[in-house]
Amino acid sequence: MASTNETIQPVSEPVVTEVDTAATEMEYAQASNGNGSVKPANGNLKPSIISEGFEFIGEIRSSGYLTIDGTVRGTLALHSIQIGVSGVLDGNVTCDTMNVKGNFSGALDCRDLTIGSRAVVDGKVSFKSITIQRGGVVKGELKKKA
Amino acid sequence: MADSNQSGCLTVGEGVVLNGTFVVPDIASISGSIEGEITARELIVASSGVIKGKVTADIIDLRGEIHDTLTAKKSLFIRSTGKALGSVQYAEIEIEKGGDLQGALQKIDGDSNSTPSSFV
Repeated sequence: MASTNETIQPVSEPVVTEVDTAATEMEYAQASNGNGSVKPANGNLKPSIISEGFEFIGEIRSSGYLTIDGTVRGTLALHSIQIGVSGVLDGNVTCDTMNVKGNFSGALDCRDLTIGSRAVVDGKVSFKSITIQRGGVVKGELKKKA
Repeated sequence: MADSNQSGCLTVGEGVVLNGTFVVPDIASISGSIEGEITARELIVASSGVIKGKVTADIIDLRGEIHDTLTAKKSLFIRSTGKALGSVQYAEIEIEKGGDLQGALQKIDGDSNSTPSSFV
């Protein structure tokens, strides 16, 4: 890997809270280390992907971006989530941006919600802004946050 | 749209307030305010239009507000200024960014003529 200095962190002080930088990858591997809340997306974070055929049950936390093409069940707190066409997400989700092209069921709390034309969203959803493309299916209860 | 074929159409101008039950065989374009029940083939609510009550139509194009009960037997299109509050039933739905949709949603089986082929 190229290890060019990206001049992001001053090296002078030992940074203890650096966990976040590696958070996405770590949590991808080990459900949750239970530290802290979701912060706005950090440019340093690489997107995590639950690929097709992969099933994950548990809790995911990250300030980064997660793409779900497989199946995820559980509690998620992320900055951005994209559920791909083959993706299934079932559970309790808190995030800033949610883009559903596949299937979502459960409870969702987000700021910006986009529902694609082949998506199915079922459950309790609260949002600040919503977009539904023609063909998208939404069932359940919708609530707009102030 | 309603201008080209007036028969069976209802046009409610801005500032007009109507109360009651309305059955419109063709297109209803609402720029004013309606309280009551309205049934139409196609319902166009302009940004100044407000409907409170029970609304049933095949096609609903919403730039204004609908409160209470809304049933779109074919398609419901909520534009960026549109607001739908209450119990919403639809066969097909589309919302532009900025559009407001709140309440209990239910998908009903509709005429699938206008649905895209990708719709399963």
